[in-house]
Amino acid sequence: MDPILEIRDLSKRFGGVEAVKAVSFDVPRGSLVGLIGPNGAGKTTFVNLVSKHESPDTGSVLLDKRPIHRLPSFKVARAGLARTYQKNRLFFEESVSENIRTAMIWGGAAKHQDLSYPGLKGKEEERTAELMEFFALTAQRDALPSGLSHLHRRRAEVAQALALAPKLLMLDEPFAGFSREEAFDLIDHLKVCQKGGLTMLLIDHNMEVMLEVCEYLFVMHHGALLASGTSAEVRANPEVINVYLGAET
Amino acid sequence: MIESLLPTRSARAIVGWSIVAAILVLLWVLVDNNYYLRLLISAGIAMIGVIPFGLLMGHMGYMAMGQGGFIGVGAYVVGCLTVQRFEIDIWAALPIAIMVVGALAYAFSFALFRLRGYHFSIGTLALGQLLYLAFDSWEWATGGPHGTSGIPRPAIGEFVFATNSRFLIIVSVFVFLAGFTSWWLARGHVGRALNAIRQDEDLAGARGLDVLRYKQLIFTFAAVWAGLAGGLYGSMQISIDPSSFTIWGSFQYVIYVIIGGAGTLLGPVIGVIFITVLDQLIADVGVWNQMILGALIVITVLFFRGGLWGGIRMLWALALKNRSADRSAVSTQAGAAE
Ligand SMILES: Nc1ncnc2c1ncn2[C@@H]1O[C@H](COP(=O)(O)OP(=O)(O)OP(=O)(O)O)[C@@H](O)[C@H]1O
Ligand SMILES: [Mg+2]
Repeated sequence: MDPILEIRDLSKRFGGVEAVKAVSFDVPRGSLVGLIGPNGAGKTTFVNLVSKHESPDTGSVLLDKRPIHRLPSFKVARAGLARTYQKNRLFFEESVSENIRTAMIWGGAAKHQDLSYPGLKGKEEERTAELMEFFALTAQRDALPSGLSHLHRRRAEVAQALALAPKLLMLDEPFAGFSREEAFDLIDHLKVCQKGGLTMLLIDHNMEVMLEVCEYLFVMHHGALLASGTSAEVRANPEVINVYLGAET
Repeated sequence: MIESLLPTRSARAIVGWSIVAAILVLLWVLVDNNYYLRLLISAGIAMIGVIPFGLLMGHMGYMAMGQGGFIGVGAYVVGCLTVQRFEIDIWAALPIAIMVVGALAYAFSFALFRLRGYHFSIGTLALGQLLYLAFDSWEWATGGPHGTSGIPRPAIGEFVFATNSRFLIIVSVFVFLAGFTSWWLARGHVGRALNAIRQDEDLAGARGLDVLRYKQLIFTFAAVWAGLAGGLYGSMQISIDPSSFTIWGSFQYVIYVIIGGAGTLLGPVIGVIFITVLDQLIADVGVWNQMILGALIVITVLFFRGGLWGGIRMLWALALKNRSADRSAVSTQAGAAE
């Protein structure tokens, strides 16, 4: 296996809460992996640690063999790791196209030659237009985030993250509030990007969708990695069943 | 029409800020009275410090409450270099003062920008207070509670800006420079970065912006101009003591920005003018003037988020809309008559 992301012994404590406990795993290059776990399992904290929104107490993170856990968040982003947020986040005073273009400017010109998903080639204007077209946002180009539907806002957020031309994209519950059709529509788009070389780590509570879509799954519980495997393996794992039956209705 | 006369944005900025500076000088012709003349100079000096401060507080959303300290450092460095301990020319002392304040602000910015929101405000407040204590106790450099006196006025060759009317000219030139450099800095990518930091700085970082660098840049820029304002203040007053550089001075900058309009370059200018005029109007009502001022701040914060300048622009937009509505009404009437 050729891992693009190597997590070793990552931990974070908030006062008495061990939000992430000695988590280690690898994400294979070009894969679409899932991270699941009940509420409060530490999934968002994990993403925050890797993207450096928070500093880990211990542990290391290698992106493409390069240590990134000591870099500030903007350097992590420029190194090729982008993320989206559980609670939708965009620059609320900027239009959709400005939101996308801004990330493009700050992230630096597309520099990862081995990638080939939408929005990577040409000048900023062309790249922005291509990304908006890909996510069917062209009609909303001048709209403010507050004027967008939930669906469009989510898409705009993913488009903004992709504007960084990342190698790895971490999506924190992108399907929350989506119907099954809407979730699969976004997944279809993500799969196109995967064909273009993008690696993805997906977080969601919708088990049905996750088990169907992800090639490999990691299960977190109480901050620690509880299990990992293919969807068949995870589905059959008694500990996972126990946790999910215990925590979710 | 303005676009056709002044095709580039920088030309418009130069002309705009020249007009602001020119108004300041021309007002002197109208007042012709030393008391009002000093008010004009004070207002000009306040503008020099508060226009760049507006970028920090308004554009970037970091309400620093220690600018009074930087004003004081600027004033005392000039005082120390020109009279207290050395006797160098004020034209040499001013740039040194600027460098000292800039270095100080930059050094403290590392610690201060570990803080956000009101924590940052409290942190800067503490820094301002710390500097105030230094002014009061470091007698060697500052003269302690008695302060420093005999700070000279600048001169160009034989021409000494000794009289207040001459001094106003220098102040106006620096008002222009403060306005123009702030505009220059805020246009384009720095302005975009500042707005993004105000909206969501974590997101800006996650999208590749070196947030800390921009914060430090703007904090230092605002401090440098506050320091220059302080140097000019010292020169205007001739003698200074710690009582001029208390928290109240820092607080006033914040008020100028809130009342005038945060997030715009002209807002702080309007704020200074408004407060200066208001101070004169309510000076006679004793304790009540503080209450009136307080009430105005509350009203502005509650109802005019854009401050006075925001209000003016809103009225202007309304007037334009009414005019075009009148016109279209006239033209439809004309059309109906035909
Ligand atoms: N900044 C913080 N300060 C204190 N505690 C925190 C902080 N962030 C997270 N926690 C705690 O860490 C634990 C993990 O939270 P986290 O948000 O990572 O879980 P999650 O798996 O994303 O949950 P969900 O599925 O509800 O989004 C929780 O107990 C939470 O209360
Ligand atoms: Mg979460």
